[in-house]
Amino acid sequence: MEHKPDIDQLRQARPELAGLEFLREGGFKAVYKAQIQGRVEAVKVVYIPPEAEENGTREEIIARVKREIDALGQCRTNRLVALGSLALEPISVGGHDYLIYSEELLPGESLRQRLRTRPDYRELRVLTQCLMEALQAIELSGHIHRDIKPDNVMATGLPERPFVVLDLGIAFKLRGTELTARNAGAPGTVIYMAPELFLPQYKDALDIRSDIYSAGVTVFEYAAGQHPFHRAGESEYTTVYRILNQPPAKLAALRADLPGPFCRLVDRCFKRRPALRYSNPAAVLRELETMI
Amino acid sequence: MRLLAQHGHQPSDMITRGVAEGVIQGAILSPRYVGPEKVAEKIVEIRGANAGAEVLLDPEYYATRQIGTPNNQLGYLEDWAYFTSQRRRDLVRGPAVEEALRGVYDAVSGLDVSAHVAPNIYIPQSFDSMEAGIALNFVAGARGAFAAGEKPVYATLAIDRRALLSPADFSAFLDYLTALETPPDGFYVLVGGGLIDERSDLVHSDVVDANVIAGWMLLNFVLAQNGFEVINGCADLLSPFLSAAGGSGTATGWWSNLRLFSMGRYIKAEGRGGQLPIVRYVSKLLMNRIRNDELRAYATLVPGTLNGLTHDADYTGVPGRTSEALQTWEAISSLNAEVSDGSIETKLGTLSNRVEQARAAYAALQRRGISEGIETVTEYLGQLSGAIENFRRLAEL
Repeated sequence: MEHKPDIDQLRQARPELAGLEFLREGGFKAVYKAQIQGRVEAVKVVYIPPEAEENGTREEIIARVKREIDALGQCRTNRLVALGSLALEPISVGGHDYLIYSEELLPGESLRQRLRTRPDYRELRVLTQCLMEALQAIELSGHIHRDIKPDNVMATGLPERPFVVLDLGIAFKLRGTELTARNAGAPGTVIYMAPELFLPQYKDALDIRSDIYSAGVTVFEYAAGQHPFHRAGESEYTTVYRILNQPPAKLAALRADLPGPFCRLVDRCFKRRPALRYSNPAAVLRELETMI
Repeated sequence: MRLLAQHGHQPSDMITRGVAEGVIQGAILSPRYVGPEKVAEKIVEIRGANAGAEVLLDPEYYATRQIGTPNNQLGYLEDWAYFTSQRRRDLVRGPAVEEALRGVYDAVSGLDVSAHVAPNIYIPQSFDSMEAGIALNFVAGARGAFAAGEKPVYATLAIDRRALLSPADFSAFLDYLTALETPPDGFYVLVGGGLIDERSDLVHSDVVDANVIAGWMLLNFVLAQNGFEVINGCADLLSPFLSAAGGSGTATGWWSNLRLFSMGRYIKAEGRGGQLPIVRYVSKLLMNRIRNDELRAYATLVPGTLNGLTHDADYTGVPGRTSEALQTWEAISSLNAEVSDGSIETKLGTLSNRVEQARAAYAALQRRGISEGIETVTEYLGQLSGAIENFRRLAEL
């Protein structure tokens, strides 16, 4: 992250954040752990570059973070990370502008950290169910997530919430989202993006099936220990070519120990044509219920 | 997998006999051939043959585009209150579509049909067209307009074959169909094109194109995967292909215009008429219709030309039109049964074997000196094989 706030200066600026500790960072966002009103939460700090004032994107950045928070607030499920007690507000640290807010801090590790653990059928079935329940809540709130991937799924080890979806940072509100610089370009993480998102007119047909695609790729990768299209070290262009043109391996070919119907369900989630996928998360859940 | 009679001008009691025998499971009635006063009677007649028969009524709303066309032949359609001309620019607006849907519902709601077939317009060339947009409005509104009927509702899709040849537009259309907020229970699908008269046959028709058949199969596959019933009108010898892809029912009739769909059926073309077509026999082995004299000659050389089914007996002499219809239904039902079980791969494998067997049988006939029409048939079988391969690719199997 560019201009990650100095942790001591952050402590000075927000003394009520007790026991502040750095956790991780992304392109424009740093995440800290802190106690707020006696509860340990994940504090998110989003950088607003100075040129945002000049080029008019400041309001857009604020709007995007607000959208993420609004989207999270509208989704009624514990399959998604919950908002914390620190409401969104601007903050200045070391002469730089940021936005700050908090989410619950989840235990465990991301699916990315757990790749190649060769999970069993029971775990994969639960993962698929949790992802689809999360997507169902997102769909019900009128959004799509657009960035489902192993990095954004936490394996918590909690029996009531074994897998939790994170980061609605680029969630898209179906019907009515104004175009912004970010969501007018290619959204999401390329190797998890549904083929239709590469089309210039992708918003014409955007629906929850794009998320079902990314969830399918995520479950496949977690189950097989390899991405269905991407190979280590290759360029994104090569992967995109594969996504658009080549059939992926069948999950059953890589995990013969898993039940055939489950493998077919996962394979169907990321068919190239949206119409060949499940039409909504409820349809996946209904089929999962028929599996032992 | 149900096989239904495609109702049309009916010289005898074919449908009731077919239903009674079980070679068909019901019928799709045509208001062009039965007026509003007689339709209830017709349904009673069919149910009299088998109380459990499936009876649908295709409102043929798509034919309203021929109102006012010189030489149109709309039969009793003009007696139905809903069958009125609508301007395309009016249909683009929602209220006219709702009105048209309600008009059909009002006309058919009292009928003892198994499911309601909601009306639609014809998609003439492309899914990227104003007509396709209007057609989607009809589909989207079908459930609401027919909700009070408490019977399943099938939305009509009447599509020109050319529309299936543009993959991107077709794909976008499928995406929309499978994401409807209030979807119908199923679809009644018609795919056609070209001019057809009573002597046209499937082998020579425009529909026999590997891409068209594969697209039609994909439509069935996608809709079935998404939980819809799919009834294919005028499917004839393509029935097993559509069944294998997931279709729940197909229909065919006794004249060519009941076996192949075309908007040309509503126009009386000059120069057409004259003798009725020769009675033919559907050979499962050849996947084709052959004349009675051909049947005798071929069966001597390649015994498998005969199906070994009950209605073969009708062909010992000169069969009548009713026998021809019953034999057609019996043969197609039998082909459908071969692809009713197993995985999609198994079903496609069965179809591929059937096409290869037909090719081998024609080659055997050719070796024995029969060469009439062999080139056409070889081309036809090539399109069927191509359709299976294209479908595999389109369906990402």
